[in-house]
Amino acid sequence: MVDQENRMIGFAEVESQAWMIARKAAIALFVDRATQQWIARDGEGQFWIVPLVEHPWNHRQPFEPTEDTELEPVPGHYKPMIGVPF
Amino acid sequence: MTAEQGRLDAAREQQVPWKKWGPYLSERQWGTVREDYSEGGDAWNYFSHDQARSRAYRWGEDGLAGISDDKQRLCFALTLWNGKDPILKERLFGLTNSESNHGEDVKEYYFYVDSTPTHSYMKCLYKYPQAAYPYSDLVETSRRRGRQEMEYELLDTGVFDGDRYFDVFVEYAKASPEDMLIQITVCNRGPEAAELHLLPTLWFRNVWSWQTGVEKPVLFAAAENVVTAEDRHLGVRHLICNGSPVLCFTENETNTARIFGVPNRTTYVKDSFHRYFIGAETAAVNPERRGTKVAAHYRLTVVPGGSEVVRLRLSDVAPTALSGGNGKPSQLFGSAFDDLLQQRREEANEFYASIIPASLSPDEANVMRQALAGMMWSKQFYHYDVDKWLEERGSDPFKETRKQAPRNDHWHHMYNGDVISMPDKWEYPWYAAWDLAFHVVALTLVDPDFGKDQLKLMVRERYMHPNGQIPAYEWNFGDVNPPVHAWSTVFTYLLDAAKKGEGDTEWLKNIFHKLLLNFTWWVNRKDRTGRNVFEGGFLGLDNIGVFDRSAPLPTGGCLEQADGTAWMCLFCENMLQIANTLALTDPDYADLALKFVQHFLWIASSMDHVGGETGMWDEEDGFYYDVLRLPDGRAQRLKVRSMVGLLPLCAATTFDGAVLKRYPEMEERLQAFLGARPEIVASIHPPGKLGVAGRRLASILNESKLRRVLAKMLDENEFLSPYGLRSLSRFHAQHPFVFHAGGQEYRVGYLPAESDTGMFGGNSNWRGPIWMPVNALVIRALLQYYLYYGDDFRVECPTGSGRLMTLYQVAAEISRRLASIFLKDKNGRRPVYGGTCKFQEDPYWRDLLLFYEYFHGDNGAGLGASHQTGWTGVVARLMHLFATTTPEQALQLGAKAAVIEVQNPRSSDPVRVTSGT
Repeated sequence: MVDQENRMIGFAEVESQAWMIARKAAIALFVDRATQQWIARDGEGQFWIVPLVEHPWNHRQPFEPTEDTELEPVPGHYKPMIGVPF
Repeated sequence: MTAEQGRLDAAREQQVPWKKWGPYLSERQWGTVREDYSEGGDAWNYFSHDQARSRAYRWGEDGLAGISDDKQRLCFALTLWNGKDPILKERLFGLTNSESNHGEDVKEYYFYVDSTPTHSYMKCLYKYPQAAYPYSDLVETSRRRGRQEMEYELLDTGVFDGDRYFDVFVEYAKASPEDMLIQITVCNRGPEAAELHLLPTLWFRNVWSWQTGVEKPVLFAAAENVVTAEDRHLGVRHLICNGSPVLCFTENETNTARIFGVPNRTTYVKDSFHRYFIGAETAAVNPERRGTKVAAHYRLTVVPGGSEVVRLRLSDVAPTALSGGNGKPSQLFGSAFDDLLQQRREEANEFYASIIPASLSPDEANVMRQALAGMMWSKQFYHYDVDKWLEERGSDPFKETRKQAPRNDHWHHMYNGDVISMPDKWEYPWYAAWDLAFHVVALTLVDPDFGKDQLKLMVRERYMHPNGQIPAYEWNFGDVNPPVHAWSTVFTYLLDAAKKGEGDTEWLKNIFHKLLLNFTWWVNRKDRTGRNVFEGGFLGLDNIGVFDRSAPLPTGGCLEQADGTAWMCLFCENMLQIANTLALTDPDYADLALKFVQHFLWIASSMDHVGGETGMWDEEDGFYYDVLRLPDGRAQRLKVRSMVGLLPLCAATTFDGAVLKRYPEMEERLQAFLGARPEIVASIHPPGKLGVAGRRLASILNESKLRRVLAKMLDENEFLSPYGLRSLSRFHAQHPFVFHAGGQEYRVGYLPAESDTGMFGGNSNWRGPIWMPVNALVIRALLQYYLYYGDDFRVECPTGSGRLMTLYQVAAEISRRLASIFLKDKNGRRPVYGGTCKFQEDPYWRDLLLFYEYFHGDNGAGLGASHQTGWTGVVARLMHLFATTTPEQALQLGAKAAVIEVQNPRSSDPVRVTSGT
């Protein structure tokens, strides 16, 4: 899942050089079923564990995916529910 | 004036919100494009039926026989459990496109029995088996069947054997726009007493989880049998339940543990009722009796042959105020409830008696009424913010990092959030623009205002692309549908003018201006060479062609489409009709009228390529075909005798010459144009030749060609079936068209039933079956020709029978054959139900009608989607037309005859016109 994302990001980076950046880069949301956790990837490509607490984004913890990590994309509209900014 | 007409008038003139609440739930929200957030756009499998009970929808809601407000904030529907199913019955089940041998298909029996246009009265029936619903059997058996076999239906599973099922009727009656009486009647058709858990369910569509700062609504138990619903936008509503049901509460939130494998954010989730009732998990529902989803649990035991009734009321008035301060359920659900429900039933009867011609038989009247009920029940709140959807799936076109969306990438201007008439709320729970044009022709029988709004909606900036394209459907908004919007606009305008004495010119202008953009899009995008010859792809006729007409040709080159070019001729004619109408009071439109006359002539003449090139008209066969133009310059006609070749006949419209009389200089300019280019009209109908009543005819076909095409069209060995016109000539049963290219054989043979390939999903077939919308266009064209040629033009119908008919009579004959699909024949059987004994013989089934998507080319059996009202509802308009029109009136009034009713046309009295002259 992660590799596919990175391939798509590489393609988009080439295209974006010709575009005006009108909005901030989006945070992408995933689940890690193995650890039963919400994982977010920010605009800089950094991964974070998003805990189920109040103000979760403020309490995010760094997450380092390994070769065995399988992250399943979750639609962006779940971000408000989880407390992840758009 | 009927009470219902009074409500329609109040809705229009005083903005009384009679239509605010209606049957606006989808029959299927899972498996739709807008709920699809998969990488590859696999909408069917991304959000499955199995997930639907546990996963909150993003864009809309579905439910069984349900209602909602017109922004779908608050929803009400049935939930059922027979004590044996593995899950509650909350929504209709069906097979996905890949699960079924003939494309997606609902596997349930439900019937839209009645509805008034304001939904002041509605009735729906759902047939629920008492045995465990055979989910696995349907999936597994269907998977084993090939395309040569019939579909495996719910009746085939045996689950209805012994009549062990419930007929669950739901009736809604509005006491006021915001006060709804709900009566659920459960009938046990089986031989033994049976238990049913009836769970009328109220819930809020989840809008709070997907955005920050949105106040969450709440449902709570205000009393033992009263639920109060509070929402910032909607206000306060009360669901009052008769009897002593147990109220169970949960949240309309995704069970993330089940769907995503991560712990739930809330204890109570969307599928809690399944766990509570079936899994006996008492902690699954909220003991504080509050949430965003609530079910009132009635445990019924119904004796064999008996029935039980449950009543509820959904109102913006508090219970104490409703009952005059008493608040007792007996006051709310006793005789006052009876009386009001009966009053609304009678008002519905009264309304339909004013619509359905008295000359129709009871069976015919039943067909019309249920067709119109189906049109009403097929209204749905359709919500899709494409820009937001693209953003949520990481495809925001303005984001620094984005990925390509699998579809609709260029439609991010679109915000759809309206009640729209759907083709079929289970199989096609999304709007389709060209379908909608036909829907309006039927809808305007009962609600012209709604029809007008639908046409205007499609050309609004939230729908129409900035480049002028009208959106096709959510699977690909950029696909190309036939341009029938202008035709529907003209019809609706004339109808409105007839009813009110004058037309809504502002509405007409608004749509005309947008259609100018659409016309220009067509001309610039689909005329590849600039020679007025049009492509367009499959153009709604799916597998009708030799090749997939929407894909690159295996031969290279291009396809000059007879249907595409004919559609553009009709588009010109319709735009000319509108320009003429506007020009009568505004000279600025006269110039545009002349433009469309000339453009029609350019396109019509292009079909023959007079001058030696291969044109679409085949003189040997006397028919029109697509032309394959190869890269090396060679061209050949693809001689498939299909609806593609009949559509040029459909591009025919009469004009009374009023604008030319008003603006004589236009006549001079037109004559100068024609005089300078006589070759343009050499092979088409001469535009200057006057017909009956001095009418002019814009037609691709001159009289000679018309007769030759009609000879094939009315030949029972070709197009004319006992049940209407086939989409492909039966000639190809013995003489399939075969084409070889690139070592492959492409074959088109007559196939009267389901498709035998997976082309276009395999769930439609234009190689033989009868399709209502194109039949309706042929009938329209025949009447136009009749207005011009009059009674002196006669043809054999059927060809070779020796029976000569006028074109009016031919049109009436085709309409009669179409209606006969649904009517009992001399053996008491309805062709639509084919060999299905239950539907033909059982008194609890045989008078309930399903309006299928298309029909067997030989025996009229229903095929495809089963609730296509939808464009099959056009049969109601056809039945109405020929019961309220006479040939004499048609010749007298011209096009207005279609919308002006004659009283008792079958009597011997002189013609009396009722309105609008």
